[in-house]
Amino acid sequence: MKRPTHINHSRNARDLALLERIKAHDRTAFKELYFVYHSRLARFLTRITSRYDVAEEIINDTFWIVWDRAKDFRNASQVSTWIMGIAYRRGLKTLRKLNSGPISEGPLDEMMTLDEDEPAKRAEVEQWLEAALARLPLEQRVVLELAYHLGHSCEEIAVIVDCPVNTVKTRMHYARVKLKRLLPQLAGVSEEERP
Amino acid sequence: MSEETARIDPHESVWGSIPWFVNGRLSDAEATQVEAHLKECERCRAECALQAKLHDAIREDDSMAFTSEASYRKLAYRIDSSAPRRAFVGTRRAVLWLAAALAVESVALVAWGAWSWSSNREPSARYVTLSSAPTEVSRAANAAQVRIVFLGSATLADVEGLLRGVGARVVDGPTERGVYTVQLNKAESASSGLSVLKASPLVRLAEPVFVEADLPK
Repeated sequence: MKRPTHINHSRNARDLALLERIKAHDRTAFKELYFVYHSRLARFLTRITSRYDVAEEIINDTFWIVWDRAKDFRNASQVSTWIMGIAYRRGLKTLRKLNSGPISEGPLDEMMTLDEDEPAKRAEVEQWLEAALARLPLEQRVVLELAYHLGHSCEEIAVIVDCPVNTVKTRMHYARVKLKRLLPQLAGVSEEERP
Repeated sequence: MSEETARIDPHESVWGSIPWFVNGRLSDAEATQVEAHLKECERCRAECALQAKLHDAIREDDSMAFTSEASYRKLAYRIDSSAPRRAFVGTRRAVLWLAAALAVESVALVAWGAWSWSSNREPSARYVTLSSAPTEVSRAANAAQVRIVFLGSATLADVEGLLRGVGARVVDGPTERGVYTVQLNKAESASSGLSVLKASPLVRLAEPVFVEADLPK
């Protein structure tokens, strides 16, 4: 298969330039950075909290901190890693306040009865995916979203969620195993596979 | 990440790296190692194809549509409105001073409310903006009130000095937007007091509270 590539050096250079201006309280640069990150943060945080209104509050809390602490950014990581780390910690804090109950790990209900002989429509696959992701434990869902939706490397995810690289890989492994069980149509397999 | 694990078992190492192979975030050396293993391992090829499908499905899922303009306006409003309040009430002394001032005024308002009720009058609204009508208390006192927003850099000592200098005292606030209502006790010199407040470098905005009698008929 063709080697996938994901170049984001220019993205970080753009973010760094914006952050430099934000340090001088340049509101135009702040707004630009906000708009660059809003969509991906909204999607990520909505997946974590299952509530867009809550996600929106966390986004604004995150960018409030970015506005207030831009001067403290020391370039030890990419800007996106720094911002996602803030958003992740704010998300966890909010979830604790909301006393979010345990994630249901039961079987998918009626959506899982989709006739496998019929080609699944795109919307149905999205529904399946949504339901399956919602049934992953939070820490596994976070790793999967950060890697597959937001394109972060294993090392960046370790920084964002503040855990060892091997823990990230372990969480990803269990997410893969569980999704195979929850998404047989996508996987085309019914049994868990081990390396 | 591959150097240590590659010594353990190439298959195990590649299996764990597949998600970052499909999202394109492995180094060239790591990706080369994965590609070499994929040529000889059918299970890893199948897993790689599966994870690529999952990656594409998640990456392309556009079922959530978000608007950012309204959210940004909320944040901009929060930044604009918080600055003066944070700096002004940022010290314990400031909080105590304001609490004491508001407590005194609360007693006055309760007393006025009781009198107002017994006189069958409409109670005055407590939510104020820069354009809100004045309270009945101010009319009874026949003294000018000014709604005022201080600069974020203003210290408590600065503000106290300014208000004492014009014979003013805080009678309400801060509101959520950082608006204070101050009362100029010397009615005869209220106009000059307002001018001093407006001209002060500590003040972002100062506007008089008009009473009905002041408005054109």
